[in-house]
Amino acid sequence: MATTNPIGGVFWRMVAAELRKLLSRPSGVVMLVISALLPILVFGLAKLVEGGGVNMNANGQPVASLFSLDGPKLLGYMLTARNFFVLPLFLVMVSAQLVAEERANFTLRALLALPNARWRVLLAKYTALLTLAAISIVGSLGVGGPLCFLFVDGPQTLVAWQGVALGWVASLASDAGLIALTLLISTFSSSVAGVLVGVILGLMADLAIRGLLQIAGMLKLFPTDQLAALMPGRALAAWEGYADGWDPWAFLGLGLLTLGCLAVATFRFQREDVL
Amino acid sequence: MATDLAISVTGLTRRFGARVAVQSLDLSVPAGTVYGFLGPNGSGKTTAIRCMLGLLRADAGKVSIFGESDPVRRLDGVGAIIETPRFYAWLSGRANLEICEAYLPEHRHGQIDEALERVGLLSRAHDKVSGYSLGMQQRLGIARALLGRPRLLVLDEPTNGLDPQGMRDVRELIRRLAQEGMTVFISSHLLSEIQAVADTVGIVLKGRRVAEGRVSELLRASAGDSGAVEIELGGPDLNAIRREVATLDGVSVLPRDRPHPGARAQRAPARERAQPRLGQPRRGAGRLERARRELREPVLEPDRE
Ligand SMILES: Nc1ncnc2c1ncn2[C@@H]1O[C@H](COP(=O)(O)OP(=O)(O)OP(=O)(O)O)[C@@H](O)[C@H]1O
Ligand SMILES: [Mg+2]
Repeated sequence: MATTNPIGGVFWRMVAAELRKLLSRPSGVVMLVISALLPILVFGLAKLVEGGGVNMNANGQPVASLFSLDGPKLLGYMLTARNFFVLPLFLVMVSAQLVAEERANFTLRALLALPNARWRVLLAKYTALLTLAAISIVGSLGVGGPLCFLFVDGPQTLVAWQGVALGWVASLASDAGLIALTLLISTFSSSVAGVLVGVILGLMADLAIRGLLQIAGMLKLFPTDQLAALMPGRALAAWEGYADGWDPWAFLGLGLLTLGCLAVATFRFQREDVL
Repeated sequence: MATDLAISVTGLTRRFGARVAVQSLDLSVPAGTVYGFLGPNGSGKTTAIRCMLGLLRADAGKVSIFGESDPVRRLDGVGAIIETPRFYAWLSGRANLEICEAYLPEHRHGQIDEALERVGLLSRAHDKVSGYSLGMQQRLGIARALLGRPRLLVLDEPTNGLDPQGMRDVRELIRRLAQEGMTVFISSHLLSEIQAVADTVGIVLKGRRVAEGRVSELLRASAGDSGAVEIELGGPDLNAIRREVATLDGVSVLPRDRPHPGARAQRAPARERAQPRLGQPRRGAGRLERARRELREPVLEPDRE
C-alpha cells in the first residue's frame, strides 16, 4: 500500500514519472529551449538599440538616448519577456496535456486504476508542472543573469539586483497560480485546445471585469481597488511588483487563486468518471 | 468477511442518464480461479469492471477485492486491462512500464523485465509504442497489468486485435498465471474464449447477471440428453431476459408453458447453483437454455436497441 504520508514514499517517484513525460516530448523541450533563448533575444535587441544600431526616433529624440541600460534593468526586461504570453501559453499547454489530453486518449485510466488516491495523482502532476516551471525560470535566469551581470554596465551592488531577483522568484508563484487554474479548467475540458481557449477566455473576462471595476471606482460607487487587486489577472501579474512596488493584495489574490483552483480541481478530479 | 473470494460484487448498479448499464449485479469470484465474465456487446461488462476498479462511481452496490472494500486499498495487488490499452506513444514500451511502475507501492517494483518477457516483448521494449502493432500494444497492456505481480488480474477482452496465434499465447499465459495461483477475471463476448480458459463463468445480459457457476457444470451434458443442459432464468423482467438469452448462439429458450422452474430444478447440478443467484422477484420464471458442448463459432449477438 502507498505510504500514508501524502508526499512521502512513492509520491516523488510519481512526480519524477510525470516530469519524465513532460521532458520527453516536444512541447516540454521547446518550452525550455524558448526559456533559454528569450534572454539572449532581449540582450541582443537591447545591445542593438543601445549601440544606436536601431535608428529610431521617439518624440523627436533618438531612441538610444532615452535608453540608459543597466544590468538590473535589462534583467527586468528579460523577466517581462519570460512572463509575457509565450511561455505562460506553453505552461498552460503542457499542463493541459497531463490531465485533459491524458483523459481524452485514455492513458489516465491506467494511472487511476492503481492504488493511489486521485488527489495524490493530481498533486504529483501539479508538482511536476511546477518543477518544469522552475526549470524554465532557472533556465532563463541562468542564461540572462550572467549576460546582464557581465556584459552590461551598471551597479554591481547586491542591493541593486535584489528587486529584480525577487521578481524572478515571484514569477514562480505566478506560474503556480497559472498551473492551478489550468488544472481546474482541465477538469471541465478534455482537449488541450479547449483548455487553452478556456484559460484565455477566463483571463479576458477577468480583464473586462477589472475594467468595469475601474469605472465603478472612478464613479466612487464602492471601494474597488482591493477587489481589483484580488482578481486573477492582477494576481497572476504579482511578479510585476519588482518594478513598481510590491502589492500585498496581488499576492493574497495569487494565494487564493492557487489554493482555490487546486481545491476545486481536486474535488472534481476525485469524483470524475474515468473511461 | 469472505476472504476466499477474490472479488465480491453485490447489488452493483450504474446508470448513464436513463440507461441502466449495470443493474443489481452480484458476482462472486473465488480466489485462485479463472473467472469468465461473458456477455454480448453492450451488456455492461466494461462498466462493471470500471466500477470494480473505482474508475466509475457506482450508483449503488458494494465491491470488495480480497475482502478489502476501500476504493484505493482494494486496488493493491490488482492488475488490469480495460478495453484497448493506451500508452504514451512517444515513449518506448519499457518507458511506459517504468512510468506505471512509479505509481505502484515500492514493494511491487522491479518486475518490468519479467512482465515484458512473459508477453514476448522484451526484444522490442526499446522501440517507441507509436511503432507497435495493435497486437503488440495489447500484449504491452498485459505486461503493464502484470507489473508488481498482482494477485488478481482483470482482463477486459484481452484478445481484441490479436491473431489466432496471439490468442493462443494469451490463453497459454492465463493458464500459466492461474497455475501460479493468480486469480484471473476475464471478460469476453466469445463463449469459446471463456470456455477455453475459465473454471467459473458469470453470464451478464443487459447489465444483469443471469447465471453464474462452474463452466463444467453449466456445460455438462445431463444424462440421456444430446449434450445439452438446461438452466433456469429468473428476474423481474423475464420476457426481456428470455429475448436476450435467445440471441446467444447455440442456445435456445424453451417454451413458456413448462411447469414452474422449482419443479424441474434437479435436471442439472448447475441449476441449483445458478438458480439462487438469478434476479429477485420471481414472477413465474421461464425456462432456459441449452448450451451445446460443440458450439460453432459462438459469437453472442450485440445489444441492439
Ligand atoms: N460513458 C458512457 N456514457 C453513456 N453510456 C455508456 C457509457 N459507457 C457505457 N455506456 C452504455 O452502457 C452499456 C454497457 O456498456 P459496456 O461498455 O459496459 O458494455 P460491454 O459489455 O463492455 O460491451 P462490449 O462487449 O461491446 O465491450 C451500453 O449500453 C453503453 O452504451
Ligand atoms: Mg467492453
